[in-house]
Amino acid sequence: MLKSLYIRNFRGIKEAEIEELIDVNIFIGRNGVGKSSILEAIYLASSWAEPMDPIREKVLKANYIITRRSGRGNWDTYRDVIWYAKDVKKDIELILRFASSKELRLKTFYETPTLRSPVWFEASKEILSEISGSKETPKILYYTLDTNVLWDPEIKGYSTSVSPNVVREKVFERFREEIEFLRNTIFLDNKISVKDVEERIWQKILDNRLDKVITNLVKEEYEPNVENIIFKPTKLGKYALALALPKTTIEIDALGDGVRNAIFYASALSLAENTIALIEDPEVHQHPGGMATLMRFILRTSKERRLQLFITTQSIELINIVRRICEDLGLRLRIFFVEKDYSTDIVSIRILESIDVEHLQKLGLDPRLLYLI
Amino acid sequence: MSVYENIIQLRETLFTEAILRKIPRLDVVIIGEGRNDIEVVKKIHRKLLGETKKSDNVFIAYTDVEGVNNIPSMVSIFLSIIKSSRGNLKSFVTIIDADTYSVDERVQSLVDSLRSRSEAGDLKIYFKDPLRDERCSQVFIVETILRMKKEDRKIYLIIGVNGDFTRSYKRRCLEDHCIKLMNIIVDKEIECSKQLVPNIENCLSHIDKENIGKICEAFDHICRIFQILFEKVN
Repeated sequence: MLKSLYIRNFRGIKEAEIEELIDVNIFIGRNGVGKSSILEAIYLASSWAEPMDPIREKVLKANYIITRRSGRGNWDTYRDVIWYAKDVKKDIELILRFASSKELRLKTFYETPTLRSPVWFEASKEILSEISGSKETPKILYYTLDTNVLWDPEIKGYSTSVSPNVVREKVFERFREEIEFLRNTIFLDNKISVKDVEERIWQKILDNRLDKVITNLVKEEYEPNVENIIFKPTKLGKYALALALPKTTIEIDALGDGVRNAIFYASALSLAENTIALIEDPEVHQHPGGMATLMRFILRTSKERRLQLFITTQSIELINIVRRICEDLGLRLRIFFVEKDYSTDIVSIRILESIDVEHLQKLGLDPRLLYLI
Repeated sequence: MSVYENIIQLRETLFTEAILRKIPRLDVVIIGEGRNDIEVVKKIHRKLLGETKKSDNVFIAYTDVEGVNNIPSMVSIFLSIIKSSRGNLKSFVTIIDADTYSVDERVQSLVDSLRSRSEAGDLKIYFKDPLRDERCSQVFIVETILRMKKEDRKIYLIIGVNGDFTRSYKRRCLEDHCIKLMNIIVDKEIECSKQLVPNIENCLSHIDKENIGKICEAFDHICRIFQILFEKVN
């Protein structure tokens, strides 16, 4: 489990430190303070362990954080947008501390060649001394797991002074569990496509007969008459996912946004295990009833499948629903009020326990307006 | 801008005020035990502002802990608000009834509870010893330090204790002061003055009608709290 996260020079965040992370972490705050950027920072960091997105077809995580916001360009052509103030001379720094007390120090350099993951692990002096056996303090090198090469920022080129294979061995020796935990990190936003679900996710759902739980979710809140979720042949000779109702079938694409999002989120989460789930504004398109049903599903799944949740929201209803469900399920919850000092662009965090949110609301102080005090 | 516009009732108007009027901050939060207490304090506040005829640009929010009538729950609520604040909130005022206690006992028991609750968890809030105000014996100031990673924040907790100690009521409360203002003659021994002021509206209309000198004679502690607030916040 991730315990804390340090971010530097990423998107609108010059610097931020988020501590005391727990099972369920909800981020609230005004627009533009960096809530989504925090999710993206974790997702980018996870690309060091595995560059490919686990739910989107042939999508590199590093590309996705650029394309999902604007659709304009990709890592090759448009990556400067993720550098703070587009100052590409300053490296992006991410430090992840885990419950195991281990710390992963990661960096993204602008000038490195395009690889599947642009995230580099700082091979500490300690590791490098151990490898070289020399008493001299070696300089810090950076290691990418996916391509198995070392980068030397001083010469701005690959380093051959140490064998990458030996570094790899050491990295796995030290961080095996953390790598496993990070690699399948999923990012749920409202841009999951029908195609991803039909071609990539649903096959695995059927293999595990998880379609039954998704059908129950739909039945409970959105379409009480649904009998099953099936593949229906289309006129183009392909198959479309559809709700089977007593007298007809409706393609997923024709459903309302709320139910469609619920099916997509639930499907993707059902496949994840022992990893991080990043969920951006799950309340979008949801009636409070839908929100409660979807969040109960998400939280129950996260408990069963050991998922650490990071959720952004603008909804006080969602916060209150999650508080209640977490209490029922015995999940630990923290609410992080994110705010930015616009004179320095330093992001700071106020940590609220569930009881604090209850107290503030009792006084009539909406936790989303915490910037007032 | 009206001099009254910076008075915000948390439960009813905060949302629209904060969002539509874009109020920048809350300087002071005043918490009463019940709705009646808050209505009286707010009325005195408006009267004082009307006297001074100036907009002080201090945003004061009112709320109550109606329904929460035990000290531990109240203390938890106070701690949540102190812990959640980050510099805008300068003072945090609570108006409590003396009830069957002396002023000192009431204040000390509140501060002791705050201390013990803040020491129990991982909160880093320190309460200095309560200092009795030099001009009003029923007002205390507690300097509160919220210890943060990079810097400390200071909030003044101001405690006003309701009760007329010149009378022999068994339980002392805000209505003791209403009786004083309304010149109600108490010619028999009563347990609590609440029974003589069944409708707080009468007290509120007296505050409207009376001059500020008379009001401050009856509600000495509340007027003094505003004086301190205007000095501290401005």
